[in-house]
Amino acid sequence: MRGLRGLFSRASLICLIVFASADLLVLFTRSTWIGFLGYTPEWANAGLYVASPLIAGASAFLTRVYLSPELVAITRGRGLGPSIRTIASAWVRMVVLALIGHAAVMLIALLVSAFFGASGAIPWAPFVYAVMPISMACAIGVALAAIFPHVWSSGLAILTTYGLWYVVVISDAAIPANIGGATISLAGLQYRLSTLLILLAAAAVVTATFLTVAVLAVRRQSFPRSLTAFAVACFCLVLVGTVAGGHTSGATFEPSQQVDFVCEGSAPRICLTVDHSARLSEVAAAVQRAAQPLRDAGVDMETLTLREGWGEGQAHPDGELLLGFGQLNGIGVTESDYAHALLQPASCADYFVEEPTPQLERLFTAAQLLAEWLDAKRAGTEPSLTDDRARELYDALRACSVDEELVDDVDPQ
Amino acid sequence: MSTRSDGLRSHVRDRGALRVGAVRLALCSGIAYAPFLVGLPSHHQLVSIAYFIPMVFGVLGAIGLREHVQWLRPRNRLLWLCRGAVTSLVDLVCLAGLLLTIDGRPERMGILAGALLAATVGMLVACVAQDFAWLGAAGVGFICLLSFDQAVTLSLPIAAATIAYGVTLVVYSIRGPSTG
Repeated sequence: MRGLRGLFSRASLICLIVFASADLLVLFTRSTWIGFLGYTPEWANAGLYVASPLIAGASAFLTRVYLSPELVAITRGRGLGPSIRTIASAWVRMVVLALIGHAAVMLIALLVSAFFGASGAIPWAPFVYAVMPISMACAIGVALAAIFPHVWSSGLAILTTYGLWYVVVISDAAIPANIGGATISLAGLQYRLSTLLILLAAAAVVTATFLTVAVLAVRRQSFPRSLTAFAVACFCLVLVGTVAGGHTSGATFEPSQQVDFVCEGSAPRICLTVDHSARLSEVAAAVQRAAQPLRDAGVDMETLTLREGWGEGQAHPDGELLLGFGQLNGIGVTESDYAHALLQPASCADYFVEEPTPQLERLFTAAQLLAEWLDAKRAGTEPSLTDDRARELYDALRACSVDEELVDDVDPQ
Repeated sequence: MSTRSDGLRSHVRDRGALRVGAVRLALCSGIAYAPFLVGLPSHHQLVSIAYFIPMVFGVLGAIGLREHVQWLRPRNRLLWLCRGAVTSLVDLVCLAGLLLTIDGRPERMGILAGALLAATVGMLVACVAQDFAWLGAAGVGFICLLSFDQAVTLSLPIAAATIAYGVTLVVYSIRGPSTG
């Protein structure tokens, strides 16, 4: 076992840089994670789904050099133990390399969030999740390099991994190929421990299976047999994973017991979850500025509280701030977005019913008319509503009761 | 004796090159066509399967470059002409087939342009470091993968990508390195 000696060769570093760059590229395809420490590691893991083929390709590329004909001949002559140790060593090297790359990306993401004035606590679960696809992709690369010690194994590893990951995702198999990048708000949610443990076990099984194929390839040196064993392993893993996925709940998150809010400002008062409160002052000030036309029209905003939406179908006595969680850091949010965030001043029961009611339709129509009125006011153009009608509509939205005649005789622009 | 040995080596090398060339062609055309046949772009979950085409096409093309060059550089001039003609014909047929499947749809054009771009970069990297050609192609393919549905990729000019790929391929076939 040669351990981690010579891990940072020129080839390794080039592969590391390419993988980390790819991972980083995915990270910055969005800005919704910036400022939220609870969400940042989750989004940082998003890149692993698409970068896994690169990890596998690089693993095969580097392992084919590591598993030199001399080393393979020596270990084969010494029995099963040295073969297992050689393959394990090759795999550990690749996992360490990939983890360094991903850890660097994770660190950059956390630093960017922290620099932005982050809120919330860093969860530990995403760090465990990150290890799963990395270990599986590395095992695929090592197995293919052991079967086919040629540069072609890199291409084969890319093909296999992306094909396997795709099948796993569309068949909802219990294999952790896609472990990050949730696009929903994580406020009021926590990582589900049982799912994490199940997926950890699944990743261990997948990794062990491919490493076993690699050991057999090194021992037998028969290309057709080894390739057949690899194909059978892929098929069986997808099959078992799909069956297991049908019998287990794949939910990554579960509701947490308590959601804490912090509030700021008045007319209206803005409340955000603690995890998303990094830019509370700026958001509150922007919403208050956007509410000026409503105040000028005579709407009483003093007693209005707008609360960040969280969970599913969570009714509460306050109005809901109509901003996505990713907009709460203020990045790329327009004045129009802040104005439209005012348009659900009460959490009416109609918003939470399964079948749409006529009242719900009128609530939405009223909100739409007010959105156009606010836009026109901001742009300095002629609005389709009078100020009095706008006030009546907003009061009706707040009372959860919009009369038909209030919305029927207005032509939306 | 040495002539016979050279001939044998050349024969073995040619067989290997032919095999690899055939596999490359089958994989590239199979990968290029399959998603169009199953429907594109896929709406399912994360990333459409077709969006991986540039990466896969570029990587396979880059990996097969050594064999590609060996195949196109036999010592016999007549054989060189025959192989050059066959390869050009097959490439043109494949390209024509792909252009037909695009059917004027911008997302398909973006995918094909991305694939040609990745393969072109693979060849350029191969001029400097042949072993890393696949990584260069994979990098470009990865950027394309993330950029689909965005204006920058949808506006990738297919004609420019085709010309760049064709010119690079011809130049590489004649002047490119044949060993690592």
